[in-house]
Amino acid sequence: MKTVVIGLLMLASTAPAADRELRERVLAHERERIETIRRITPACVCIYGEDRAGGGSGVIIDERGFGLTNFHVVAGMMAKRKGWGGLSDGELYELEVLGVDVTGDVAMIRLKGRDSFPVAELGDSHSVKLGDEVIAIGNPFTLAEDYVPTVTTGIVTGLHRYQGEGETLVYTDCIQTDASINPGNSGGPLFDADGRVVGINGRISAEMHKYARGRTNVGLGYAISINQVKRFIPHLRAGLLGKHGTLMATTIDDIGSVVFDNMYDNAPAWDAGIRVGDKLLRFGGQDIRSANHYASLLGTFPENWPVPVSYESGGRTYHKIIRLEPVDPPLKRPYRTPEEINREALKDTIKAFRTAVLGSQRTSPPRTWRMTWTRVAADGTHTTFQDEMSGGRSLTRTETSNDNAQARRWETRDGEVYILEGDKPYLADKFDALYHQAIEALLGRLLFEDEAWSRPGASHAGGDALVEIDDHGYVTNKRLLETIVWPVSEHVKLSVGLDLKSHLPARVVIRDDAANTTLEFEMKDYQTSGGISWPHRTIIELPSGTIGELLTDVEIKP
Amino acid sequence: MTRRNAILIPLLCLTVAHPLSASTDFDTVIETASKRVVRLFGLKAGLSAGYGCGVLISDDGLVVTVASLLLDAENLRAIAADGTTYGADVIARDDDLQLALLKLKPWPQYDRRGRRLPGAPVGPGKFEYFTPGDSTTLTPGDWIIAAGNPFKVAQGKETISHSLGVFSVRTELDAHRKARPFPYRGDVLVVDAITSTPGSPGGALLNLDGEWVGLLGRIVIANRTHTNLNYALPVETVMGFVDDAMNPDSRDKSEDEQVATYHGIKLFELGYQKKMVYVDKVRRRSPARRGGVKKDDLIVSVNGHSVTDIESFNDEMGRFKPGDKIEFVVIRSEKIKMISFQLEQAKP
Amino acid sequence: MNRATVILAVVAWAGVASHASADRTRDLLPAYQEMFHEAVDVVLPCVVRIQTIGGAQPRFATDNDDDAPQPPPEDDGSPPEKPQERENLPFRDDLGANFMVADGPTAGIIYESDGWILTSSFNFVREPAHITVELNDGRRFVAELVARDRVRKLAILKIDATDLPTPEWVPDDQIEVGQTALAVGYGFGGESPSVTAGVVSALNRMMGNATQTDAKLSPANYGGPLIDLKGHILGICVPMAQRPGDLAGIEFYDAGIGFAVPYHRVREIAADLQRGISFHRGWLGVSISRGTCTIRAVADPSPVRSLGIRSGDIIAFANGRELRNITNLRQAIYMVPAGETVTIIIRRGRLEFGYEVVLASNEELGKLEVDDPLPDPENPFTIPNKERWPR
Repeated sequence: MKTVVIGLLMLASTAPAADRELRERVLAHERERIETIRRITPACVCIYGEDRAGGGSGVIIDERGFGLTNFHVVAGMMAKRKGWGGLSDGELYELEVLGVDVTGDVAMIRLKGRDSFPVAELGDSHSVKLGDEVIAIGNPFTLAEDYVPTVTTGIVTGLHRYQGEGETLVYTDCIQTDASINPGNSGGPLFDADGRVVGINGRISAEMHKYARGRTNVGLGYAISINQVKRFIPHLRAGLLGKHGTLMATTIDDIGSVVFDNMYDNAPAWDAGIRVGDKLLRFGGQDIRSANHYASLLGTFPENWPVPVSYESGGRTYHKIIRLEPVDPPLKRPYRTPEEINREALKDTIKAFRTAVLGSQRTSPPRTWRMTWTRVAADGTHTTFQDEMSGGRSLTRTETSNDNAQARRWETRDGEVYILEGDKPYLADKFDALYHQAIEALLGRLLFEDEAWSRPGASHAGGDALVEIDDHGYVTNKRLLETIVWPVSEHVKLSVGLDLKSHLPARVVIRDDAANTTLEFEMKDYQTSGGISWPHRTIIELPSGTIGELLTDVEIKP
Repeated sequence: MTRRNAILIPLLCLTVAHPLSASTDFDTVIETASKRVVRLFGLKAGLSAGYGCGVLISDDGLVVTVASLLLDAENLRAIAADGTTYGADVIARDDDLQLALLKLKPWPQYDRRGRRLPGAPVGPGKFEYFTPGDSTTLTPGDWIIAAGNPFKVAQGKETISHSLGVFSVRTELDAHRKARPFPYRGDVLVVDAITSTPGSPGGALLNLDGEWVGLLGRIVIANRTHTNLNYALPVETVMGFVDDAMNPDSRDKSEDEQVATYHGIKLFELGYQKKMVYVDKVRRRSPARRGGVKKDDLIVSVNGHSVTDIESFNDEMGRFKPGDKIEFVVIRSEKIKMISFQLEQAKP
Repeated sequence: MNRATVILAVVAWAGVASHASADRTRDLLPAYQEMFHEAVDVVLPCVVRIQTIGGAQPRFATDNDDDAPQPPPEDDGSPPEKPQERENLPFRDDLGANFMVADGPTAGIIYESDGWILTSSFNFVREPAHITVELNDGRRFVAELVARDRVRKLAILKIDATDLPTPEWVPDDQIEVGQTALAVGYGFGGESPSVTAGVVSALNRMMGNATQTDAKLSPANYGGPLIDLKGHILGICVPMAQRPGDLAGIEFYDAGIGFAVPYHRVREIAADLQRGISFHRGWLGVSISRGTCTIRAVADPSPVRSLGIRSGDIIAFANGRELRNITNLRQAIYMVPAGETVTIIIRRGRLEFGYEVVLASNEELGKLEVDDPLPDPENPFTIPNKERWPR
């Protein structure tokens, strides 16, 4: 009863029109914030390590899955460059770590497993002002059991802050906010009120002594300004190590001005005519307020970046554009790109595969290689094939069906599979074509050809890995597989799953994007003949179900 | 005219008509507060570098801040918003209120050749300063701005941190620092912006209009919640201290005017850490007797404030005037009871 | 303000009115503030101040933290008070050692008009002897603690009163991430209730039990309401973390990580609480080795014992979550009280078994017993129970 009375009182006390107007505007403003958050949340990533432990955050900036996070979030994944990213759709996607900026604490990741990912728009961190409302999204304390991240809001409480000691993970020219940033928020985006990314959250101030709270937010979070990050994106996307630039000259605060106090004789500053004692007026488009300000700004530029510099020497003012020298971040081991790591892993895997199948590291393929297949279809019909290969390359098939033997030659031309009867080529049907490609790729290329997978520069062309090793493994019949993903042609992708223990092929999947077909072979019952191990039983599956079984006998002539 | 200004001006118009609208630009609030809060730094032998904030309250460099070890530093310095360094002398200090008054002085500077230069002069008209606002008009839910230098993030000419929060409640401080009780037990303004960070104490608490309403207090742990409390001393308390410090003669006048009250209860306490306060005796014809207080009642609370020892009982009763109605919660033979009576004037 | 400015402003106003949604937050702060006050005024008649009297000694922080009393036992699903197993327990509540139970008044919400008060079980960790409830109109009542849910951190009190005002709750499907959220409490003391402000950070946290907010929550407002701009209740503020324990979650105080139980969960739980049914921490009754989820010992009696689960078994899945370590297990079952069911998949050698386990309360568990280790299925020469054989 009382509730009703209160409700009426509320109505009665409703103020004049101007008030109602303002209230409407507050509600509209709140609604807009809700809508903005709804729009930007899908692009935010909850990042986990390869073992799905740990936790950080990230944001997708390109619909092909490229995203940004902190280096310190992915530092534990650098050996294999693999991790997991959860999105607000509740799904966990595999991710690869591409280039990293160790000094600036930024890393590029790429999520896989979707044709198109939701994307956050990058803003302009220069337009951010003190007191602006900001929205931080991430996965503090890995609370997101459903991968729907946590949203916190606040205002910008500081600009052009410098946070960091030492040579790595230095936050120069960063944005300070009182939006709650906690452990796990690292790498997550800081949005402006319009939902554009203005920074990457990564650091908080916290007291660690006995009476202090420890690693929870106490009102000071720092975000790397997105304008700095943007300058490094091309490097990071290419999987390279992001290097910062330097003038090779330092400054100190003097009364009322900032002066150069030290420089190397090969410094770009020297080459531009700057001498010790000259006054630094402007750098990178900003008036320099302090030596700290210069150091802070300098940290935002990559190597070789042309930076406008204004300085005063001998009473005259000069305006120059100076290219910055690279600074090597201190690393314990030489940096390897994901491509190099992949190529090495691939080499090892293929070596293991060959040893497993051939019994030793063969350099040349056997002259002939004859396989007898019996295809048992779901309806019980038996078809027998006899395939002959030389050098593992071309394939001649004799098909026996209803006592009718037919010999055919198979050839791959421009990614399409042709069957040659006499001189007349015709296109193989989809199933046979995929099957042929699988056998050819598996036997011909993977087993005996070195070039196809180790072609330098083959991977990451335009961000697409040509041949990559995907060693997360997944469980099929409780077997952990190491998978080599290999596009055999433009639209056909072959993945060979090798058993992690035996390194023998356990599962081959062929996906033809153009035909929208997937064919799976599950290989069992390995037999060894003439020193070569080959599965006797192969179960063939389409997405609709098992379509048949192959019984194979291999006969090999050296 | 930029879009923001375009919106702001109609709001200014409405100010005349209704209190719902802004009267001061948020940017201006931040800008003025930056100029009126100085950052304090100091080194003391055997102690690490201390830092904090202070609020300028006169144009010639009077600064009010919290009492802390920082003030014992031999080279106490204050850095203004423009990056200029001043020296600071402690001219008054009150350990009960945990407040201190400083006076800025020129601090010698050195150029890069090591030559000593005169510091920036200090004198009338030199500083922008805060005039006290009114903390009593704050209502829980009002926006506040906490201006300080937590973790000394602002260096040189950098702007100090201003975080936005709401005023939570006005309450008496009941807190400890490390293992010791915190001496100040008067009213504080609790806020939801985090101010219990090194470097924030001594900063300014402002309302949305940019008026100075409080001084950010030292880091303490509240006894009621056992959490770090984010709070400010009301500006009235702060200015009371300043006035006393400037005019020592005017002190203690108000205390004489207080009229003693009479309840008629004699108490005893039991227990070691958490004490229990029992009624030892109730005088005949006393207000407490008339209200129904009995010997051996365990006194739990007085007007909703829990009684932890005899001192807290006396503190609580000392707040009332003759004629005030008192409500006790007592426990009598395992049962909880509520008792109320009216205080009388104590007979000389 | 001179006339020219006024005219200019009016013109500007006309121009702006059509783009009302383009407001920046800073320009609407005064209006927000006014709406905060109104929202608090709406909910206030339904918020009560709770005082607890007596109970366990408060814990004092001292310079020597070793003197501080140890936190209540917390662990991963193994039975409590088995000192020999202590080294296996990730004793996460050492976090809680610096956090103590509050002494001050706390808040509650009138749940039903005939004297039902809903609050947080956190407020009764010290097992107070007496509880009083003060209504917003100044009336004070002695309250009875009817039941509490120590998992979802709720408690229900009964006072002898009728016709109390009841609040409006925001329906579950109308709570939106990003909407304004205010927390109201009494824990700081003072005459008026305290207010902290933030937004809704996430929905369906803590296994669907809580709405998350960045409004500052602490012992000052556990048990109090989290409200929207209309003064309707989004949830009741409680401490929570992804681990069991009465103090779990208090380490997040004021850090912008806060939780409130929304109405659809409150309704389910409160119905049981009103009937006097309390919820306790649920235990599997096993001790787990730290690295993997391998069972080291099983309590007898215990829910898993009766199902034939033995030491050496691996808990592979719990409630559909794959378990890789002890933390995963804790995260999978921390929100399941005793008496409710957990689905687990046990891996024994190459075999997998699915079970539905009804978790037990602390009292129902027996002593931990180390079973004979199972022969390693991979190795036919494993001698079972080595200790019985001379070396």
